[in-house]
Amino acid sequence: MQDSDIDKIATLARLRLSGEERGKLLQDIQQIIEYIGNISSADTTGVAPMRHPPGQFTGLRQDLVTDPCETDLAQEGTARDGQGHYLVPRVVE
Amino acid sequence: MSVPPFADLRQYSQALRHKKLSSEELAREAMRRARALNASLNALISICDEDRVMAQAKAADQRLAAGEANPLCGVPVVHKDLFCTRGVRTTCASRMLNNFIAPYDATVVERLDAAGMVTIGKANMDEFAMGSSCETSYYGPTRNPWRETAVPGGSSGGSAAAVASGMAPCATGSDTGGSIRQPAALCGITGLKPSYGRVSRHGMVSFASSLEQAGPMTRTAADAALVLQAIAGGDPRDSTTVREPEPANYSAELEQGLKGLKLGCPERQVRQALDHDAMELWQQALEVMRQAGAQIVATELPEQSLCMSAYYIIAGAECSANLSRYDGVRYGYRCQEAKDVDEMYIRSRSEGFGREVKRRLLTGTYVLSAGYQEAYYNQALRVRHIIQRQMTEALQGIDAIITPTTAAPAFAMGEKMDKPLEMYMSDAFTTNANLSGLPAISVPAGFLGGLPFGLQLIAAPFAEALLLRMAHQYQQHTDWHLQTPRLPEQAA
Repeated sequence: MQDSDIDKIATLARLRLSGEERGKLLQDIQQIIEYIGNISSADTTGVAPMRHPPGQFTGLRQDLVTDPCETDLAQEGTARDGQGHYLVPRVVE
Repeated sequence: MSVPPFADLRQYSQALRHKKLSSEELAREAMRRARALNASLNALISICDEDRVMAQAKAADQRLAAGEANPLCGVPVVHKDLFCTRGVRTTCASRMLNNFIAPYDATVVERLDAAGMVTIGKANMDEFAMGSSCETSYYGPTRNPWRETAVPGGSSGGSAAAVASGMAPCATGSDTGGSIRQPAALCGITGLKPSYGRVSRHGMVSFASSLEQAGPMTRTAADAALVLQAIAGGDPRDSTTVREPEPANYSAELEQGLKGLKLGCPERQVRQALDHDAMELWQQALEVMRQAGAQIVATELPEQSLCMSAYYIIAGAECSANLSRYDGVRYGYRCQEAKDVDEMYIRSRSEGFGREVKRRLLTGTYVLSAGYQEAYYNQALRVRHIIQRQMTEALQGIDAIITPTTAAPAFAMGEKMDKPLEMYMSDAFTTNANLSGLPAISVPAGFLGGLPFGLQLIAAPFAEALLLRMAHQYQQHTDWHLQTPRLPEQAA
């Protein structure tokens, strides 16, 4: 990872890094990327990717509301208008 | 009857059943002890409101008086602070969720409540379960009850320290790469990571969804069997839980001996990782297994460095997706006076997450970004498939794999905080089970320089009953799990 890459990655991750923190994280992540680069040494020709452990999964259930969460309770502790909406800084001028 | 501080879950259960002790007395003593010990150990982020605890204990006493059969009824428990608890904050040890109160209970919490357990607190952990030392918590580090200058392991370090110090005989934990087993080993207790799909994760704050499992942390394997019995099984609210096979009776086979069982030991990898003293202890543990009737045979595990790389790529990628929900809008930390929505997202996340979480988010975002996804993430998924096949092959013809849980006992606080790669290597023996979805258990296997050392058993999918039986039998031939740390006098 190059010095300039960290800002691009931080933007994608919706993070802003301060001077000292940026320098330390860049150094750490360069080391980590270098280490995990050994993943390329494995011969994976013809091997399918595995996204989760194999097994029998229950799959889907009926699309029915079983235990609804009250809106007021779910929105406790955040900015809201009392009518089920969240409040955020103005997005339309 | 006075309340013995280091009794195990079964002993408390017996005392409650025989009316030598009431759940209210037990809960009151657990609360006193938690308060006294937490000042030095910082094992709990929240100690529950006394009225709430006593109400649960009183209800348990009524059930016991009516002849309640569930052995968990009336026994105190501590929940890792990533299990949602209605009415008690769930912080995930992060500023991001400081003061977050979930509107519902996690299934694990719901099931243990239904069994009659009494929740006394929420355990400290590494922030968002990312760490191996319990030092990345927004609420400060947890200390190891065996030596306060040493880490308790992580990420379920608070749960492990709470059980080891006798705050409660049982705690819940979660294990994404070793986060139940490694702290269990470092604190001298028993920790079980069930098979992927065995225990519901509904209401458990997500980190890396294809890797993590909830499980019990207790003093003994027999206690872990009781707790697993209560939390295992399908859950319509978590589609990754399996209905088949149904949970076994986890206590039924505990007393069956080890005669005829084969344990595979990856001798080469163990020799490479352990120093002379640890190797001596390891050989003693193998000898106990032999004496108990097991046969030890040679086996090979997947290359550890590839496991570590695959694990950190996949866990990073999944956490970068899972943690995108923390944007300051619906719940969690929101920065002050943002001038627009974009700034609110960015500042809320930058101010709300700690350094280790940012490190993993950035690594995960990098391996998923255009130009790198194929080389890192997709390749890691293929390597994961190879590792899973190798683990399956290693288990062919044997009953379980036996390894040390970690190469060394607890390290000093601060020692690895600025060395992330060294910290990540704490999981060298544990990540293969998460990548493969296999069950694994850690049990105390001795002491090195006064600090606990653990051994790990890994078995085929859904063979938890076999693992618990082997661990229990090992504990019938050793007394490492009966050792207790010396604690401050005021807590005694």
